[in-house]
Parts: sequence; structure tokens; C-alpha cells
Amino acid sequence: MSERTIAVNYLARVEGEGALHVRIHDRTVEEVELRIFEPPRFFEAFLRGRDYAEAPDITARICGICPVAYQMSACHAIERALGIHVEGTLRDLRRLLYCGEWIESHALHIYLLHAPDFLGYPDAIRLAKDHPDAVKRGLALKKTGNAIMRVLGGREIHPINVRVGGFYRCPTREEFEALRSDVEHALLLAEETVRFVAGFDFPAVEEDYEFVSLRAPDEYPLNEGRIASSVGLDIDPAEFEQTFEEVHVPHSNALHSVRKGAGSYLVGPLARYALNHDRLTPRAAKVAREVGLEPVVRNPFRSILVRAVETVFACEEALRIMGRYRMPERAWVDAPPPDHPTHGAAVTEAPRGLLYHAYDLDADGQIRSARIIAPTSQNQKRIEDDVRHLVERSLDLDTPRLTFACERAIRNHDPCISCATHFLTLDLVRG
Amino acid sequence: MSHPPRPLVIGVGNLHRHDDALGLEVAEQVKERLGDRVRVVPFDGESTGLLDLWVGVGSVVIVDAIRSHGAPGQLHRFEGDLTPLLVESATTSTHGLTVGEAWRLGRSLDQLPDRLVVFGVEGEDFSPGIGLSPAVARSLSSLTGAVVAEVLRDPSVPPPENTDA
Repeated sequence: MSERTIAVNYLARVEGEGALHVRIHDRTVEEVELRIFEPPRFFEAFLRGRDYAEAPDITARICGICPVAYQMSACHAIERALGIHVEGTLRDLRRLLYCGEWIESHALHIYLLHAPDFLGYPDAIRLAKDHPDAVKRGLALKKTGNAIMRVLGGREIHPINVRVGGFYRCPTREEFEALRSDVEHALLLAEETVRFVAGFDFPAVEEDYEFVSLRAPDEYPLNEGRIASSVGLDIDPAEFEQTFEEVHVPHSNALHSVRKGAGSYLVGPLARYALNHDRLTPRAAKVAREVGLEPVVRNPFRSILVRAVETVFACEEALRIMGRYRMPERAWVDAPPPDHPTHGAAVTEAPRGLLYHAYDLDADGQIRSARIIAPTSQNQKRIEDDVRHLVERSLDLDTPRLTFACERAIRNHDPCISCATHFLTLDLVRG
Repeated sequence: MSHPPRPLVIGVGNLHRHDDALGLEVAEQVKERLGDRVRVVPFDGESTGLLDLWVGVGSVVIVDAIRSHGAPGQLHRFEGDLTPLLVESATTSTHGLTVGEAWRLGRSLDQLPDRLVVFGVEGEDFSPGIGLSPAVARSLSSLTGAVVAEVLRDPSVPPPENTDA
């Protein structure tokens, strides 16, 4: 009889503070726990009693990597509560801002966090010594994503130009013209990135995921659409909480998400691509074909390739929007307070997947309750499933190799632990 | 005729984390003292952005709050080799590089300024909130003086206007 424990006390190259615990007894994997010990941050409680107009800026503070996602989900949820819809150029500009965030976040993950796993380096700094051109390419892409956020969002981290109903100010055509050549260059770099990561060695693994993402009629999803899944789910975002539920588990400060009556599911690039590859922009679709990317990717290690294809898409989409841009007369549509209590829910596609926001508003526009479900908390159970399967396949590896393999399996999904930590209720038991 | 780029002073920090605002405060005071004779940039972004800021610049001075279990307000100066700043970096996320890690990355990519000096002051309180703790606030003036003196050692800094007045 033997007992073996795999412990990673502090996960490297992921955002936030988390650990992994695996217990193996007689070649049976008995426990796999992705422990998120970063304390909960109570943003949902902060929002209670605040004016609905404050939600985009307050929730942007949840994450320095994907603040746009929080702003977008907050705006859409509140606009649904108010019964308004943002269309035309302002809708385009929201997609453009999101493209900036995707480019920045995907470039960061591909080059600084994930590529070292494939090329045998402990971190990006040592990778940079032997592959300086690759890391420079990643930094240049990231810089272009940041530049889009700066021009349209007002600054790179926690943009300040987003409001319910649109923006505070729209850039001039000249401001976008100055950005165009950078994005054109970024598009070339993104295509090179696809070819670069396509040359990596990928472990031969297939997981049986239920993929969940937005799906819109005629575009690769960013802000809007219905929630679809690979087993036929097709719901309005308002039905999210009837379909999915969060479950508290003792080992984590993030709640686990499951589809009711089913189980774990996966959100993020693999899910988006599986459900929307037919909606990619032309050059993204072309380079995906060129490197032989299958229409549905079930190998989590190949997520780096999908992120690279999505980066090509984001550059193309950004160029398309800037190319036809005419500065609108007004930077926002009016979003007056409701005259009755109301509720709105929305999801948008953060770089790491579906980000759900729901708000109950008073008649005067104060937030009575808020609900935020981040992609990483939705993926947490599915990541544990990946690790469990990996360990079951790899029991003969020595402990250091198995530990590293487990860390890689987690990094495949680019978890953002800071985003994931939240509690719905806090029970204080005093003796 | 092209002029050599002016020295660059970068104040690194977060206004909303008490003593972490130190670098931003010093940058503001250096700007008041030296005006346009040097370029001063407040920096609260992700540190890979430092590589873009210092590209092509000869002389760079960075000011940041640090935490090394010393006495609050204690001044440290590093030139060239920032290895001492890497001590705690093993546990940080690469979603946000530290100044030391940005230096290492810049060194790997051959993207460092000719001269790089970092002034660090031992912080005491990095919790969320605005305002420096008393010991750190008291160090502000001597730290600003040290940064100004450092910058003025650079011969490319133009003399102050009205020197004949």
C-alpha cells in the first residue's frame, strides 16, 4: 500500500495566489484540489447601494489584465436592466476596446506565461535569453493591445472612458489613423505567432469537454450573443443562473461552477473556437487552416495555438473597425435611471471566457444586489478534472516531473485567480 | 542637429496603496524642481512597459518603494546590477513583472539604458488607501534631493533657464 502527495504550494505563472494538492493512494487518484487561497474580495458587497453608473469603474478594479471585460459585462447587464441597447459605431468601439484587451492578454499568456512550458524554460526571462526575437514579438503585440486600450479607454490599465450607454469621449479619426500602422504590424506578428507556436510539441491528449461560449449570428463573439454549448445548449444570457450554479467547496475561496444536472464545463478560447470557428475573420481562418488547426480542439495543450489564432482575429477586427470609423456625434446614448425596480444580466467574452454580471436596481438606480461569475471560477472544476486525468495517465512519472506536468495542465487554461475569488455569503460563527 | 535624449526619471507606484505611492510623489517633486530639464514619467503600469519607456535613453533613474524588512524610510541605491531587487520575485506572478524582473528581461533582450540607477525607500504600509506613513513621508525631501543630485551629474542635462538673471 502506498500513498503519494503532489503539492504545489504556490502556483507560478498564473495570476493570483493558488495552490494544488493531489493525493494518490495505491495508484488511485483520490483527491485533486486546486486551492484558491487568495482571500475573497467582496466586490459584490461593495456594489450594493452604489449608483448603477459606478458599476463599470468599480468592477474594472477586479482585474488589471481584463478590466475591459468587467466594464463590458457591467455595461451590458445594466443596459439590459434599463431596456437600452447600444448599436452602430458605439457598439463597434466596444468591440475594438475588447480587441485591445484580447491582444494584450493573449500575447502576455502566450509568450510570457505559456511558451516557457513548451520550450523548457522556468520563466520568460530565461526564455528571452535564447529566443529574444520571440519574446520581443510578444512584447510588441502586447504593446499594441495596450495602445488600443490607451487611445480608446483613456489608459492601459483600468480604462476610464467607459460608461453605461457608451463612452465619455470618442477618439477622432486622426487618433485611430496614428494607431493603424501599429495594428497592421501587429497582425503580421500575430500570424507569425501562430506559425511559431504551431511548431511546439504538444502532448497527445484529448479531453471530453462541454464547451460553453457566446455565439452570435455573424461575428466571432466578444460582447453579445446567446450562450451556446457543444451539447446543444442555446440560452439567453438572462437564463444563466437557471442553467448554471455555483457550489462552495471547502478547499477554495472561489466557487465551483457546474451546469445543473450535468457537471463541469469549459469556457475560454477552446470553447469559443469550437463553437465559432466558422465566424473567424479571413486571415485568422486562413492561418488556422495553414497550420492544420482542427475545427474543434480538445487537446488543452493546444490552447496556446487557439489563443494565437484569436490574436490574429482581434488584430483584423480592430483594423476593420478603425478603417470604417466615423466619429459619432455623441459618445453615448442616454441611460436614465429606471422608474421601477429592475434586473439585468449579461455575459461577455473575457480573454479567459464567459464573464457573467447580474444587477438588481432600485427605482432610483441604486444597486440592490450584484452577482459576478468570472471565467476562472467557472473553469476551476474542469481544471481539476484535467489534472486528475493527467495524473491517472502519468502515475509512473517521478514526483518532480509529475508536479511540473500538473502545473502545465493548470497553465493551459490561463487561470486568473484574483478574478475568481468571491463569496456569495459570509457566515460568521462565533462561539 | 540632434541632441542626446534627456535623462529620464521614472516614479513607479500605486497611488492607492499608501507607501507604494512614494515613487509617484518623488517624481512630482523632481518635476517641480527641474521642470523640462529632465523627462519625468509617473508609472503605475505593468513593468514590461518600462522596457518601452527606457529604450534609446542614455540615463534612467527609477524611484520606487521597496519592502526588505528594513527600517521604514531607509534609503537604498542600486546602480547597474539590480540583482538585490530580485530576492522576492520568485513568488510573484508574471502577470505583473517587478522592476527587478523588468531589468532582467531587458538584459536578456539587450534593451537596457546605458546607465540605470534605482532609488528605493523602505515602505511600511502597502495596504489599500491613500497617504504615506509618517516615516516614509519624512524621507520624501531627502529622497527627492538625492534623485535631483543624481540626475544633475549627467552632463546632458541643460542648465537652468535665467542663469544670467
